[in-house]
Amino acid sequence: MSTGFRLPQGGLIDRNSQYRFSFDGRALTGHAGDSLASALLANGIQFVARSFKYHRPRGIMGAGLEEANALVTLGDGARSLPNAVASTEELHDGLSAHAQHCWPSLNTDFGAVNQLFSSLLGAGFYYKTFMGPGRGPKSWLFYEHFIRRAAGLGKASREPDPDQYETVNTFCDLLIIGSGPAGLEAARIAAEAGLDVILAERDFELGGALLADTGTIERQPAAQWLASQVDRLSKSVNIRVLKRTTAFGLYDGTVAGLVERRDPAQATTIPWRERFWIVRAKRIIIAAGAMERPLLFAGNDRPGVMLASAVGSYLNRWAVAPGRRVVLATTNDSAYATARDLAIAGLSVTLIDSRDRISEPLHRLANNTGIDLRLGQSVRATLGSRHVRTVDIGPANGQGAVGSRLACDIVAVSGGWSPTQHLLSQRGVKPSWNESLQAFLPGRANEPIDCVGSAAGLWRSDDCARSGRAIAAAAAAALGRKAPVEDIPAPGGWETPIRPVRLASDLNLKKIFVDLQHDVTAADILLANQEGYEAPELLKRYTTLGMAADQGRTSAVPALALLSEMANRSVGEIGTTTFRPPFAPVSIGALAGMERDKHLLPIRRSPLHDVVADSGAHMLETGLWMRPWYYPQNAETVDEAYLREMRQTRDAVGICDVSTLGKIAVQGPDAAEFLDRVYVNGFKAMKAGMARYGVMLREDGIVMDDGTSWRLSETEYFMTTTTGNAAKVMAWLEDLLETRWPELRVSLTSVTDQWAGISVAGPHARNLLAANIGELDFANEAFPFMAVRNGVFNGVPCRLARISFSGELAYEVYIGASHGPALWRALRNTAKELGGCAYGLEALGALRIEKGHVGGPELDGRTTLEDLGLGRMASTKKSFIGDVLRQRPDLRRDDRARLVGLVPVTKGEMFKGGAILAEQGQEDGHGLGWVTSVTESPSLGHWIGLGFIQGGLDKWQGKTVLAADPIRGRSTLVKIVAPHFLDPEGTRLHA
Amino acid sequence: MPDAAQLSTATPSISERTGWTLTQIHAWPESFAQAAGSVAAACGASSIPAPGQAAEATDGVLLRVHPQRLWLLQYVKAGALPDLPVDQGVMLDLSQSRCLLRIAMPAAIDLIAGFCGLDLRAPAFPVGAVRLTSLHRIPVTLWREASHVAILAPRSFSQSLREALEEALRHRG
Repeated sequence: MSTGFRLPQGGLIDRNSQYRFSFDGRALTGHAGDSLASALLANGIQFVARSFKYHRPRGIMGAGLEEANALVTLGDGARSLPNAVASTEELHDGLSAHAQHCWPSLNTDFGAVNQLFSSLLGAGFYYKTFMGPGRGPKSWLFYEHFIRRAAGLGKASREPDPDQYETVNTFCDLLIIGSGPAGLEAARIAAEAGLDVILAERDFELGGALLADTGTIERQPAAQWLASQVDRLSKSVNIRVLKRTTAFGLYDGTVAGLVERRDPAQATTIPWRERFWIVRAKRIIIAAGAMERPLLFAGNDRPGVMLASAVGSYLNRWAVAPGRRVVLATTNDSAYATARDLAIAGLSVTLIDSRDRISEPLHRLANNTGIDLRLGQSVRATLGSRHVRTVDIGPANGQGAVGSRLACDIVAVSGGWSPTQHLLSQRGVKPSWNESLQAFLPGRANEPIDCVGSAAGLWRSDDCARSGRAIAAAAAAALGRKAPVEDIPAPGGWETPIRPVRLASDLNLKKIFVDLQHDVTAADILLANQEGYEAPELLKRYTTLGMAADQGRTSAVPALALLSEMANRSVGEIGTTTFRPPFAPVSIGALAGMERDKHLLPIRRSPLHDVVADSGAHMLETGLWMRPWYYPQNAETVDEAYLREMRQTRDAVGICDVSTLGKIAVQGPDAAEFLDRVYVNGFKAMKAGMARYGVMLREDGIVMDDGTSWRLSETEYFMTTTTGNAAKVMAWLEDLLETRWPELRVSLTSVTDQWAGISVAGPHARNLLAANIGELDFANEAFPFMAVRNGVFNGVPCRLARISFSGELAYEVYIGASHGPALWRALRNTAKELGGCAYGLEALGALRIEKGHVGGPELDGRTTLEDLGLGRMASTKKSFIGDVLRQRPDLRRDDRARLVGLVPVTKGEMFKGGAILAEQGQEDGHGLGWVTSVTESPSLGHWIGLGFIQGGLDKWQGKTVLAADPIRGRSTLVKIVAPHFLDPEGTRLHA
Repeated sequence: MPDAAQLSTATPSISERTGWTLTQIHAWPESFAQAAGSVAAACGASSIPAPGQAAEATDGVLLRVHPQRLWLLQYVKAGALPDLPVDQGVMLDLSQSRCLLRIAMPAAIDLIAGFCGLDLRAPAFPVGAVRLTSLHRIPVTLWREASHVAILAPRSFSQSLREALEEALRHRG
């Protein structure tokens, strides 16, 4: 049915422009200044959507974010955007919109069959049907697939989003949200007082309700007043005006989240589609207006039933008459202006006011404009198929029967107004119910956030403007600026009080839709109440009322009014729910901004990154670092390559990039004392020129990290940490120094990036270094195990320590980062001559397993020194972090899982990390332990592993258990052995 | 700026500067004034900068990056600073640990605002202001020069940071 039409004149549209757009493939036209909804209505299209649960026909009911029905999908393919609100979407040339939640089409929707089963799909349907005795997980798992297919509003594209999004952090003195009369005046006063102001407006035009106001404000025509305000704003240097910008969340510290949409007319010049603004304001003024509430009657969801203010907006702002014969039902004064404008525009208007009496001016308004005014009446029901055709009306007290049936094509309704205070609610500010205004008014915030205008319950434009001025002046004063002081007007402003919503007793509750977006009916609320879900938070969760994309903007108060009637308690006693961000849907792209694809996280590159890549390394992401994984030769696989690298290292020499190890300079007179306190073993007695392996614990006695610390002088150490724990250890040490031991004169500096590090391991390590690091005696006596020496490479100083992770004769050499590549190339060339190679992360890990060194898989945040076989390292002569709590009886139990070595009983078999260790036949449950690290050992010719088993080596040495790996379908018998597979005496590393 | 400094310009607004040294001076609270005073005198700084401030030095800049910590950035190879007795504080060479990016004003402010929540408005971030913050999750030290914002970023992140900044610059057209 085609009902709407464009009026021949008026409105804020540019009739000289013509935009082509489409809806469900149908070619249509509109004008610049139109919203998608206004253009659809101008083309006679009211039926645009299907409802969520019952797939009932739904039409455009609002003109802003209060719209609960007209959700559409915009665009196609990768750029498609579901759940766009037609009434807030700015029309542009080429816009393509589609109805959603219907199949195969809007007109023929198979889902509409749900209406036949509506009596079965009431509140709590899923709980009652799929949960409870006899309906266990199997039944839910069977139905879940079908339920999930049916659930959800709209479908997101599965293609990568090709658009760009930006993030902007900014600061201001005052953030004003909303640009109606209150917001505009607040901005003006604040700017005149010298504040740095941001004015954010969701709409693509400034003005809020004034854009559709044909009345006056402060003795001027509204349009004229608005034009002069906008002109003033444009000339102000300290106001940033953000149009098309929705404030969706307020967070701690007066931080606001805003999303700005690109002006469609500038799509070719502005590269981003949306911008995410993070605004840190000293103060915030919420001038977001109020939202009109619908009325409750049977068939109140039928296309053609619209909010009265929306009808007024379409008429006055967009010059669109949504219909020709309008029945306007109200409980308050606000709808009279719309009725007047409709009548003046030549439409037939019947005004149904539920109140028995109204003020004389409103009487005169009706009489003078030819409005058919009926007092004390209310709408009981609408009739029609896909559009309203008639309404039944009856006494508003609900006592009498339907009195008459009126033909119409639009039913405009006004059930009162709800101040838009969702953002304030997000901050935990509870609103208070005002019985005379039938509205929740904002509570007082403990933060510098104020509500003004209709958001504070002021209904007259003059009062709104005044409140904006008064609050802005107060804000300016609070920020040390001067502004003219004004009184803040009291809430309200209607001459005749609003009449509370009351349902007639003979209504079909199943046809009264309280939450239009989630298809929650009055019957659902009644049922929930009868079943004990009386609190609004419980009602919300049981019925899903207010849980959809519109956040219950139009449904909350009508639902509470119903609940109040049913529970015989006032709305104020019942209270309301807490709103949470986002106030309006925000695209994931806007939140992600640039942090996607390769910019999802920053990448850390070792100083040797390019040179190891040139050496043919396959790189691997480990945390943020890119590290050389293996260096394939002749198309080797990773397994072939790392085993070869291990063999070459053990037989000759290998070099490995260890620049990623955490490195911390510990300097100062108390550096030794500091290390003594954080490591379990002592460092004070260690002489300069020596290094020591150290382990540090968390306060709870669990091992935190390990590494070596080199004593460079009496007052300076060079600490290394594991790559993965570098940042954590640095933060922990700084915390200790600043909060526990501020008396220590110690300086901690991360020098991870200062140094390129290369590990040189293997029997020829000494020869390799001697060939490249001049003037340094590498003889065993001159440079013993754990010694630290300074060297020179190509005239550049470097530092070396003889330490070994692989069990081989090994050194770590560190040189200034920019000189690392040259050192690498030199060492690599010499290594080749000596029959050695570069080895990567895979071989590094495998070499240490052969030696039985613990690594990341063993330091998993659960293990103690004793679990790792390192208990004897703990000093008994000093205290250290974690020493007290590591003595807890539970951590000292003999049956704790302790580190052991594992070898397969059948040498050719393999097993994997993560397998459970269990006795044969008892592999169900948690088992006796687990496997942490495995590798094939070229030295031993079979697989080996490290793991933990209850009781450790003392209980299990030489015994056989099962490495059960049910997920990967493999179980292997393994023998428990000592964790040092290779050279347990240390002959090689001391060579 | 001294001629000895090398500037390699990859885009019109972001450049990386090389050929400088960075020395950290960390002094103990009771001796900071004395240690910082001798460093300031040695490097030609007119004063000891307050925390969060920079002072111009001969051929460089002295940054107060922490109440007890100064960073002396020198664009030409200068003479060694006088030894600092360990009972006053310690010094550390960090010349290899950072990259130095410079972003030309006025684009710098908008560009950086895309990455971090610093108040970069002129009154809050005037010439000579030093801030420690995170850009693209990377810990950086930045300060305002007359025509640029300078950024010292960890060397390992430098390529990633630069790519992110340059892409953001392209986004802005």
